[in-house]
Amino acid sequence: MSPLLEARALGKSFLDGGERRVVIDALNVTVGSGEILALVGPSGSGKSTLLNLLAGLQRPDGGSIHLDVGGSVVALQDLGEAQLTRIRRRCVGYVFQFFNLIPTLTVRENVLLPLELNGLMTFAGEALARLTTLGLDHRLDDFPAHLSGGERQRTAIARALAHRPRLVLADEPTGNLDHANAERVVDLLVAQVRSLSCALVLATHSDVIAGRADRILRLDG
Amino acid sequence: MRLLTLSQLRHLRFAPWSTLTVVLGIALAVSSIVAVHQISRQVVVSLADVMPAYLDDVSDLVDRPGLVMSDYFELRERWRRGELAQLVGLMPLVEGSVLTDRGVISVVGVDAFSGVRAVAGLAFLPPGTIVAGPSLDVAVDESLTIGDVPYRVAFVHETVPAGMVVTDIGTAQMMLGRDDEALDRIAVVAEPSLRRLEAWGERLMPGLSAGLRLPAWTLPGWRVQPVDSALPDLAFARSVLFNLGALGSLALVVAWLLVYQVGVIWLRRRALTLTRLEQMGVSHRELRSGFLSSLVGLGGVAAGVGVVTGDILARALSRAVTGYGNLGIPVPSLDGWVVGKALASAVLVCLAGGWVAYRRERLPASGTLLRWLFPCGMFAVGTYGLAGTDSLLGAFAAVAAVAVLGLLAISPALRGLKRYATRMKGGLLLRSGVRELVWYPGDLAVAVGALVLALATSIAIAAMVDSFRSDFERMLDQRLAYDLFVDGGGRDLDNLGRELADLAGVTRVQRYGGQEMTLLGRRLAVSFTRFDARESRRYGLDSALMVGQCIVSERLARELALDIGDAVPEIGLTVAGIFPGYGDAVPRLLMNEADAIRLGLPLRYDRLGVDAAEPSLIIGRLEATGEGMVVQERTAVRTRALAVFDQTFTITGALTLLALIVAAVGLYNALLALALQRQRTRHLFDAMGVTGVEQTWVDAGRTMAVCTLVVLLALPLGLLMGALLCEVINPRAFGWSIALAPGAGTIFRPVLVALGVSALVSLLPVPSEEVPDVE
Ligand SMILES: Nc1ncnc2c1ncn2[C@@H]1O[C@H](COP(=O)(O)OP(=O)(O)OP(=O)(O)O)[C@@H](O)[C@H]1O
Ligand SMILES: [Mg+2]
Repeated sequence: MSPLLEARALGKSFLDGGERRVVIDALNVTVGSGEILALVGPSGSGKSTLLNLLAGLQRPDGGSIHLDVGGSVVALQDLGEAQLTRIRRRCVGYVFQFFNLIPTLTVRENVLLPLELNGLMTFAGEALARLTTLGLDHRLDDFPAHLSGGERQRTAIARALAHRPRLVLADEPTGNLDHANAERVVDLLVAQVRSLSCALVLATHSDVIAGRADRILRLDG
Repeated sequence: MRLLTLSQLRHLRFAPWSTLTVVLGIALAVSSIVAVHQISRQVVVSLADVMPAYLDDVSDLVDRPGLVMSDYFELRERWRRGELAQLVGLMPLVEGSVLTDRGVISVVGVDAFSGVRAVAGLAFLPPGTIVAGPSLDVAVDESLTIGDVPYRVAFVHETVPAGMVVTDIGTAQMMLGRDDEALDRIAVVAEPSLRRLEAWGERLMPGLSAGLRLPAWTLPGWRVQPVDSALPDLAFARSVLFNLGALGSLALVVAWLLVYQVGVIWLRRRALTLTRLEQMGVSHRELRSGFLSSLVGLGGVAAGVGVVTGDILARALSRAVTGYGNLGIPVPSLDGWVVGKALASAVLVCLAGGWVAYRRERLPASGTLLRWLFPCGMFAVGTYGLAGTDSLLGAFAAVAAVAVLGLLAISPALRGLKRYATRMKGGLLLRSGVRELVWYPGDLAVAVGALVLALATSIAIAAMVDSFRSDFERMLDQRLAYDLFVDGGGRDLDNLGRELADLAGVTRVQRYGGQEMTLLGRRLAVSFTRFDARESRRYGLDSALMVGQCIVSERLARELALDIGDAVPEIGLTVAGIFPGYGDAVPRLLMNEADAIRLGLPLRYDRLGVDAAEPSLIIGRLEATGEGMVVQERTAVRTRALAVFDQTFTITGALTLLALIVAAVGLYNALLALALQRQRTRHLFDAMGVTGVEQTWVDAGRTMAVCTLVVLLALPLGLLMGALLCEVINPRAFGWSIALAPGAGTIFRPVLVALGVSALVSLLPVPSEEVPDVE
């Protein structure tokens, strides 16, 4: 079976006060469809940068990223902004560490947003049912400002999965939660990802959380 | 350097776009203050052209029947003895019209040594020479010839009005064929202390002082006429000016609001840092002084920029609307008053506005009672100003109250909109877009408030100018109903009128007489003539005024609470009509000759209206009388008046445009601030695959929503302010009301421009910057 995502010889560097700092150097990453991959590494090792490259939010300096978008395989580095945007919209779900939610949309509306963008309102029932599974059924009409940290992250997960993306990218989704809460949120994320059989790339500091993954990729800066 | 200060300074560098919005906002406010001031001064200068140069400093003209030179010397003696303390100067005037080889010319003789400033250089005028205006088309050393006698032009001076020459008394007497005792009027300068105050006010708020009525001055045994009423188009000009001045002061308030808005937005963008510092134990005092000093520092820099751009803007606008080179009057150069006013506004409002903003944003709310008391108080002030008093100050208070109430309505309106927005249906992108707009009603309210006021001011100016123009034409039609007007300066023109009527080519002579009288303790001017249908039509009556009836000026009607059909107390005539009385200094009452006889008024006529095919013939006849008489030709007066007013109204177009530019840039600034606040959302949308086009659509929709709101609020407010200016303030300041008659195009042009600009603004790129401070 061909992989969902295949990155070869990826490179990314930043200009930092006049000198060039290489953050990612000749990196190969493969993610199978339905596979859960944990990215582990010290702070500053380039986890967030890699996720941004995989989502097409940043462009690599060199190397290739091939993504199976359902039937066809595209090379992200060759695509224009408009095409990248379309792929993100349809095929990718993103969970950030902070500021995941649109502050002016309620929990329900945040989760429905990807469905509306993709014209997939038929999934609405399923997406809202997932909110119940995630224990948010009593907060549907609240705005993000009124939620706890854990509730916000669970809403973000429900939103990232709503449109059944093939690839979910999560950048330390539990970074600001306490241990118990963090594990609960990750367990929910993993369970949901498995039930939809989408792939997940999860950046984390925690070895416990990385242990939930099928495979671990270590970045060491 | 202290770390706290360092963090403040770094914020400026790390958030360059936020810093730019602050600088832009303050610079814009300051440049609008400067530009409005400069353009108003240009209007003042252009209207000053209405005033003949030799009357520049003069406040009143006095005369009495049979006036001769020795009367002047006697009056001057009394003044020198200190009996006439209100006077600072007096000057004899000889006036008349004469037929020359260049057509009919009015001649004014003045005494250059009397101490009243006349035309510059007149003191060095050799006898027998004259000063001409540029429109007379004679060069220096050329001559005007009267009969066989040439009079050499010694200067051409631009302040001498069309069709007039100025010279010394002796030469004027010679030119007019009069003896050396002849004298027509005495020009006086009265009330120095109040006038100095007026002059200061004028420098600070050009135009506004035109509405200040200095208390009437009387001289027993003499007729005292303020220069205004001697020159009705001047009174009209003052009214235009005054209204512009009033609107200029609104522009100042708009500018202040803009500065305040900047303070609020900036504070909002630094909220997280301030909260963290507060949590670390930094006191409010320290935080506030840091915030205020950086705001004032930026404000100072921005104000400097604003002064320069304001001046450039005024010149560019005035050039754009008048066409390069069309207008003889340049925008005056910057003076200390306007620079001081602009800088003081910027610094003081930065301090006060920043202080209030800090208090509102970061300290616990206080005074909910005040929140209710304030609007109620404003409402009371407005009602009292309109209905409870007759004073000009009351009317101003009413306009201010209307503006404040309009602004106060914005916050609740936005809060209502926010409640609606949290429940609204429709696309989620749109929902989030609209909600973002109203999420912080406080911030937006200030921005919208400034825009509403700017747009409303621009609508009010446009409506007022339109109404003035149509009223001005109506005034000219009323005043200039005959080809020629002859003013006898107190002489009885009864016989002259009969003689003129017999001349070939004269189709009509209308004789006017009158005198001042006191009615119920009020001074008023009573005029009489033989009213027929045509004469009555001048004052808006459909048929001839009958014996037993009278027409009163609006001011008299208001002072005596008269309406059509009422009987005038003491004289018993029935009011058949009310006319505006544009520019009349005192209330007026017009009646038929027969009633004047019945009331025992002396039947003297000192004014004639003449319709004649060949006016120069009449002038020749008048000359033969050997007495000085002022003749006004309808076409000359009309052309001159219209030219000046067209110029003025054109410059006013620049003011309208300026208000719109301020509104547009203010809108951009407000939207830029909103956009900067939305960057995290933007980032999320990017990650979710929302395209740039979709986001631009949302932005455009949001901008249009703000604009629609602004227009909806500004349109009624602007019309209301225009109506108050025309129908309350003008009558109180000048005695006649202007019918509010704005053309549809005039009102909708600002609205269309505002909408168009908002569409454009939403297409402008939104810069991105890493601001760690957005929650
Ligand atoms: N836009 C940028 N400009 C300059 N340098 C950058 C930029 N983005 C990231 N870097 C640098 O790249 C390096 C990797 O950053 P990245 O955010 O990917 O690390 P990370 O592994 O996610 O760290 P953490 O675990 O702390 O989130 C860091 O040293 C950072 O300074
Ligand atoms: Mg990271």
